[in-house]
Amino acid sequence: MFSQLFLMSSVLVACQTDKEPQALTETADALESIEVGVNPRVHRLTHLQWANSVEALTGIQAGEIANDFQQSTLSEGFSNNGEVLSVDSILFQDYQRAAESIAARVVSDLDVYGYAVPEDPRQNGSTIAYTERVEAESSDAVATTGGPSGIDRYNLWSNGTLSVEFELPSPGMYTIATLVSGTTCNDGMGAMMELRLDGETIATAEVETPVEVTAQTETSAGTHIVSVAFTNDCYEPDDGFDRNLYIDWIEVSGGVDLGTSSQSLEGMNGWTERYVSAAFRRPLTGQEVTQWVEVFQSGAELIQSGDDIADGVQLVTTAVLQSPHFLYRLEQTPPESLLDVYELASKLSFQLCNQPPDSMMKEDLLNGAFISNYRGHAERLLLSECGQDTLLQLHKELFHWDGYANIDQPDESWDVELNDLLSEEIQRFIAWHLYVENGTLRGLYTADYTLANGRLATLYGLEDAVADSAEFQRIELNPSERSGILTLLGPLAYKSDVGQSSPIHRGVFINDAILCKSLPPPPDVVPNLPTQDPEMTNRERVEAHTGAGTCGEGCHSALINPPGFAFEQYDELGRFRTEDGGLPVDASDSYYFVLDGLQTWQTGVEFTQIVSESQEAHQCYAEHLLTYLLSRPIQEADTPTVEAVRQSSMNDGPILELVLEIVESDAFRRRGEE
Amino acid sequence: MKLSRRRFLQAGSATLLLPFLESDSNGSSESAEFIFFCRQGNGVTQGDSNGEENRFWPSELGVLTPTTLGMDSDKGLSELAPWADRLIAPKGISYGNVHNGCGHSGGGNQCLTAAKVSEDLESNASLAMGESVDNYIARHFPQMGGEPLTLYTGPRNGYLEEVLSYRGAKQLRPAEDDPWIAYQRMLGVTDNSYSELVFERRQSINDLVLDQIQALQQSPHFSAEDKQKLELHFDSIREFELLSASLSTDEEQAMASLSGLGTLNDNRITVARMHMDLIALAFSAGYAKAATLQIGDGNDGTQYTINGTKLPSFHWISHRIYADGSEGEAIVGAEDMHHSVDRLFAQTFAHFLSKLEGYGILDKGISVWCNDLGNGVSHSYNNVPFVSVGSGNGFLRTGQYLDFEGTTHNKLFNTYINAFGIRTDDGEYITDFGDAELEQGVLESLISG
Repeated sequence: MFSQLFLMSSVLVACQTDKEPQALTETADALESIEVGVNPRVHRLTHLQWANSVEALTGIQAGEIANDFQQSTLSEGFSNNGEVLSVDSILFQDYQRAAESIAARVVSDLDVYGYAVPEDPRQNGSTIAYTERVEAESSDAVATTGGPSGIDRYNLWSNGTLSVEFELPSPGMYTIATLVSGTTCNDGMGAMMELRLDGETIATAEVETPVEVTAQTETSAGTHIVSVAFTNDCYEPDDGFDRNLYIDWIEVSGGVDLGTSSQSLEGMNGWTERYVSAAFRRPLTGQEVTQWVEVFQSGAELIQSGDDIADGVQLVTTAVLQSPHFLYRLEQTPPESLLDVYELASKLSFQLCNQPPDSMMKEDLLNGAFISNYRGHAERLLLSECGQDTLLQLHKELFHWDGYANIDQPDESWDVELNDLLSEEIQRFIAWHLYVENGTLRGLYTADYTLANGRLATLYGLEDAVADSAEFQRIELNPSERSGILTLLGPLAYKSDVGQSSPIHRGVFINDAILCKSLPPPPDVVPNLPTQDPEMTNRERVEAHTGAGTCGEGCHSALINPPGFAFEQYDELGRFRTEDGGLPVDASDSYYFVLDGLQTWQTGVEFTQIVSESQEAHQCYAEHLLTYLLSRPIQEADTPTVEAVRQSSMNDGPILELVLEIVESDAFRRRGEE
Repeated sequence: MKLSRRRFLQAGSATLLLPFLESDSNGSSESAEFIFFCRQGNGVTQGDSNGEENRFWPSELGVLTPTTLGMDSDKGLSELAPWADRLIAPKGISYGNVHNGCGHSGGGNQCLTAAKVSEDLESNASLAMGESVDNYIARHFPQMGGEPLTLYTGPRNGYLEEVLSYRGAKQLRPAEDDPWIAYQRMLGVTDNSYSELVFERRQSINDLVLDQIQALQQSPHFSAEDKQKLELHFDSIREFELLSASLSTDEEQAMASLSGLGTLNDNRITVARMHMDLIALAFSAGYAKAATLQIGDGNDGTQYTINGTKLPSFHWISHRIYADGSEGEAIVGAEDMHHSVDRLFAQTFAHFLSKLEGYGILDKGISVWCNDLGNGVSHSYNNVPFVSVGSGNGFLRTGQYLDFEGTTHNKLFNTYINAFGIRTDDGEYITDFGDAELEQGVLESLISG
């Protein structure tokens, strides 16, 4: 048994025409000497983890900044694979800009300063020391082209700029804003505008209706020129098009007067050590303390705002947010030993909550009670809002519901709003199943309910279950038609073709995501399915194209088509059906489960219940959990952990308990042998 | 002006071993690593229907060596004899489309786009109806920012200003005419009023971070894969360190002292060389994949100084009369003057090649000395010079003088594009850059192997 269980996901199943895939031949003997897999020990924080770490340190919500970072790609099906997350030249620049922006904000906002630097309470400070708005049609604005339009705006009717000179009283973070609108041309585009500070573009936008375009930037005191540029002039009089950019006003606001410091430079040494230690999520060495105190003291010379304490805070913040000790979760524990407690605390907190250790964890770390309270912290995090968000994200990537926005069906029941509803339904379903039901994997595949509003209930054929309400509520589904997450509307609608179900997409999804059976890539040239013959069902069309005797027979007949056909009772929006184009639907088929042998079913419900009982599905889910929570692909040495979690799942261990089992495992807590 | 460094490093702390502008002799790429287009205006002295003789191209088609090209000392191209075996001189390259009222503008429109000239916008307002090759190549490398460097030295508010680089149809990319600003922008410093302080702050923090990364790389607790990740981070910062560490105090001061004065006539070549220094630096540090430098305005009216003598407007010289139009008093010795300007451009281009050689990257890329006209007198679009140096890491077969007998230059650009490893989805050569109505293809005789 054990040899068969070994790492299904790492095996590329060769497609065969018979029903029995090739045997899996690893032996248990080969695994006995390996206890723990090798984890990457230089984990770049995900962008969410970065934003949460910035907020924990400074109090600044940095999610929007992180949204503009270079996006990470999925690896191993998930976005948090520590083996591939890295810092290249583009992300380095993103980090640099963000660090400078955040550091400037820390010393430009009294509230933020008070959060980040409680050791230096300020007196007589004030926010927004400066604000000035210049009307675009006024004489203070200089344009290279165009003219006033109406009484209160200026029309740039050709490519050009409108500029205003501002005299800023102090260095600091300023908000540059302009109110603009535009007209379109025959290419359908609105007016493209650039907001510039001293000739440098700080924001761009395509505008039609009036919109306020803003940018925040760190700026020195003195004279600065803010310009609004129109860059895509278009004039097609024959077609009645004349694209112009209209500017109402330009405004600069910001700067700060932090008031009087209550500290000396030396008095800030304690802040420096605490602050950098918090950023690094561990105590500092003596050499580090010395070095960062020097960084702090260099602030006065390198920023020169006249407020030496604030300059030190700004410089330390700028530097610490670019430090590898902040940007990476580092594990420097020697091989074959338990992780250092600070490393373990960071790992637990980031993996379960995408945030650095909270105050309760820090307190236990200081008191030496972290290890004894480890399980308690794990449970607390798992049940917290951030823990729920993490598990939802895991399932979102596993069940692909981030792609629901792309669903587009020529059906009177479909519109873009439905995509949002489908996403909300599956999200609510997962959250309910995990946190209200304390549900199991078996239950995930066999649940007889969902969370739906009136519109979704109608698609389930249960118009009366919800009184046409926009509110989501739990509704009972027809157990002869529905069984768990695989028969919810969203997964079925997402894995559909235009105007028709897609047995191929659905079959690939079941193999890949639910059973961890990696399929070989499709051939380079895949001929399109023939158009629907009204004399055939969709299944018959797909079989004729990919089934026995066709060039697609190898992968499709045995592996892809059977689980795909199981869902032929659901149309392109996931609605239950008994007929396809007037012909009876046939969902019956059989499939060779590696660990459970050949299984046969008549309906989609029967198939999902077979899945729910299959060792293969439980093992696959265990592998996904482990991959996500370790942020790396599973390895040979993970087999005992996978097996233990699979067994717990087969024994109806709740999914939350499976997560706790993993974070308590040696695979999570120890560093393996190299 | 030179900014102090390594502010936070403690005595006795890990030594920062900053690899400095080393040639990546083990370059793993077999594709071209950069491309540079240096534009001269107004054509070259290569003979035409006016009875003038070829004073530009070598005397014989075939293989070029430093010796053979050096023997053609009466030809302008002989200025590049030291690089002859890395050089491609493709005679007979033509533009495939007509201008719309202004030969200079139409030539500039097509020069790097191989696209049609706008119909609705005429004369000196005409624009290209397609993307330029520098933009095309740069955007295929988003990991390097996806944008070409677009630089210019010439007057502002002239008849024609920058004409070369296009994001797309009618989307002319603005060119930077101030090397000091271009340099600061490369370093990520944008606010002139206190740029030195920002600059110094960034360098100090970069040094601190590099030191921390390097200390981590020495840790015995990380695997090779972990250290590779740290190395990537290190190299990403180092690119900027290389950029900022490479110019001497004197170079920075010279650049800063000309800031705002780059458009003046007498600074034309000096500023061009500064731009070239920056472009070579950018290529060596992996900052950019493609760059253009337009020397002189669209119909270059610079009064170049040759051997201490200030010549008439180059545009007039190219017309051989004291006028921008077609009628005027003849300039005595205009052909000789034009030839001397050709040589000045060749020498300026050679300055760039020497810089690349200094960085050890000359043959890793393709450096093109091009023109937006073949001949200034007739504003001809035939025999437009596109002289290149560098094989693009071996993709191009260099050391050749060939005659393509009127082949349109879109095929030349397809060849350059393929040198970068850019292919169709089917893995085939790109053959369709430029105007869709032009004959497609590549110039096979320029491709090695």
